[in-house]
Amino acid sequence: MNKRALTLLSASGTALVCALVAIPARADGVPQLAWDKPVRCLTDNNGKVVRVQCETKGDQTECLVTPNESKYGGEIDRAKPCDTVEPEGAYERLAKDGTKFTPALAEAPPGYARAATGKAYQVKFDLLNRVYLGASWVPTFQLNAETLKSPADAFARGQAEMGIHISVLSHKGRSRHDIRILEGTATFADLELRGLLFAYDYQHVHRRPAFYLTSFFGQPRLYEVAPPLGWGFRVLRVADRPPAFKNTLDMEFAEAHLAWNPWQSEDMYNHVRIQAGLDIGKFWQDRQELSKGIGTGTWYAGFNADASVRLALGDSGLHYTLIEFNYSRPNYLEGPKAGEGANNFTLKASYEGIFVAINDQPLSFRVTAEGASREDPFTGQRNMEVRAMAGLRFSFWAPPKVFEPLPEFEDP
Amino acid sequence: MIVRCFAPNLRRLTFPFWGIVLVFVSAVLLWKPRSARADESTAGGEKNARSGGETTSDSGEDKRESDYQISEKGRKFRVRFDPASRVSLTMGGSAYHDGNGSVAPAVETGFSFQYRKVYRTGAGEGRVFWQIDHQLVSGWVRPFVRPADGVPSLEATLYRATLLRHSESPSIVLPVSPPLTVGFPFDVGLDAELGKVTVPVVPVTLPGFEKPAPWVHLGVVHAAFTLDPWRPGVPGRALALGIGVRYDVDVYGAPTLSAPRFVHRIAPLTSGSARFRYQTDDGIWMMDVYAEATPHWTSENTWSFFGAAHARVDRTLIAINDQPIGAYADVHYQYLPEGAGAPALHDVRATLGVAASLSLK
Repeated sequence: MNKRALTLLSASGTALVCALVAIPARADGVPQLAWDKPVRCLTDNNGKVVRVQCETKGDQTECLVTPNESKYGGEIDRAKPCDTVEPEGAYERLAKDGTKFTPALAEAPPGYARAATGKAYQVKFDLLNRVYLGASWVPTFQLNAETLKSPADAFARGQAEMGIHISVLSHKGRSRHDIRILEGTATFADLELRGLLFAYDYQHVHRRPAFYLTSFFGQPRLYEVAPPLGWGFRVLRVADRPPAFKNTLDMEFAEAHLAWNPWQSEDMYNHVRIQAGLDIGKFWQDRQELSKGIGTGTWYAGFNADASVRLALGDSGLHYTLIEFNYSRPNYLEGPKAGEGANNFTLKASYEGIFVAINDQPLSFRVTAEGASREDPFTGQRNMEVRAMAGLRFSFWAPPKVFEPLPEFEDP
Repeated sequence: MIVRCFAPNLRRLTFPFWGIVLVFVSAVLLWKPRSARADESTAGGEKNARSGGETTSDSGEDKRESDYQISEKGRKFRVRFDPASRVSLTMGGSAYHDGNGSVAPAVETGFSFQYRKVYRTGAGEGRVFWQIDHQLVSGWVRPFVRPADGVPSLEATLYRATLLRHSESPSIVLPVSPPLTVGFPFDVGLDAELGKVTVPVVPVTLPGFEKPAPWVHLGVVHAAFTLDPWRPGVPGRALALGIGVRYDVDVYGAPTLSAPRFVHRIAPLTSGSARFRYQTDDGIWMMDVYAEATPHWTSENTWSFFGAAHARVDRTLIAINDQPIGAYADVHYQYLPEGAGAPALHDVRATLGVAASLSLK
């Protein structure tokens, strides 16, 4: 299995090198038609249709001109339809009037740039909307009771990952809906599994009061209440064979929380979020028991809290950071430890940077540092894990990170 | 089984007769002639007209502009309520007498559905005012106090109606020739209660059994004529002195409720009651004090005595989106008579709680 991990990493490295040595298709210094200005389509002296945008400065009219077809034939990639198609002779009249024609590139939609070949390529990425696959190197250490163990294979640990992220910015609601589906990681060769079936989070920047409160002490008074609270929930999160407790399985069936964002950007892409909630699930001290059925294991319910910072550096979405702190206290509802609980902590910081895109599908480099402290309620033993991660992620269908300003007020 | 428990003497009682009379007279009092019904639209017009200029509100009528104020930011918000027309959920802390001379705490939660309808006819000296308060499926439960086979201690009433008629010039017309009108300085009314279940917190030990067993006090029907010498003529305010009939059944577990013993109790117009109700013009404060003494005949061929008293104060504290949230204090006492060999009990509780309500008007 270690060989397989190395193979995967070397393949990723090869792709990285190939991407870096590919011929750049940038068109630096060449003027370009504007996306937000009307485009006129005229027939030039050679009988070919050209796209034209004109501007008059004083007595001089200057027009940017670009062919209405790509270098390799066919329509220009991601160009707007012509706003006006003018009859033959229009181009000649412009020339006779002394108009200066300057060759240019066709316009490109927001989040895209235009290569000299006419090909539009994506330069901004919304990493909150994507399907991703990844592979990483995950050296992991653990502190059992008194000593920091460094197993012989601590540095020979790889990880494969996948997930689906959907994030919808609602202009009408001045809100954002974040959804994560089928997110999971699997390490090898020890096969630690982490998985999430579905998670939903809601945040908003409402300007209307959520409700009105009247007090009846003395003269009645009305107060507008606009709590800056979001909420969310999770369904089925699995942590199987964590390094510190290799024989355990934790299945959180459901979780719900309230959240407060002390700071969030106008598009809610970046935020500081603090949330607290309750969850219910089952814990198997011996994961082999699961083979006897889901009825085995110990039910728990408890409190959990998270604090996180989500930050995209720059407007393009090429650099993405996430810092998360989590505390959970499952209280066991049955069995010999009924009524008792365990305190678990996790701190995780990660950075992801897009360095190349293949056919507009970004490939990113990702590094993570993670520390976890877990308590075994049955033995009282507290174990620590420290892991680092460095790897690549290939993301699919990440749209351009483009922000259109929100309306002043959300819909009532 | 229930019929078999009646003693022969009881059959001679005039309860059915008086019950029929009571229902008949109530129907007469409630019935409105067609002319009165036609006048309702006029009365409504008058009501709306009054609401335009008056600053005081008779809570109990439909919403009016004067029930609202405008905030500094221009938002209209409600400042007057009808405390007898709402659906409420309550949650409180209760202290109760545990039957051994001690006081025990309990969590108490409740539900009530109340609706008040006010009818006005006439004007000036001829003004007549009807107030009808309905209460449906209301009660409270102490979910963690379970004296009876896992059934928690509770009190629930299927339906209760309180009717009150106020006339500006009350009189009785004697059907002689010529008809004679005699002054009658009372408002008249009717209190009726159907299907009240009480699971007392204290179990009883029946003769022949060693262990205490749970029991249930079932108020099948209680109806009383009421007279109000105070005559305030304002919704939510009354001093109603009543006399009426009552039929209760006590169900004792012998030793469990699946093998019960019944004691039937009938009060043939021997139930006396007094009820004082007061609410402020804005409906923010409300008080309800009630006392009842009921000598009655039992299926054990003896006279016995049932007594009850309660006092409750409600205060609306805040409103969220014009829906009131308030606090209440409730003191409740019942003297539950002996029966089936079990001794009499004093059922006492005091509750302090919070009520969240949905206004129906």
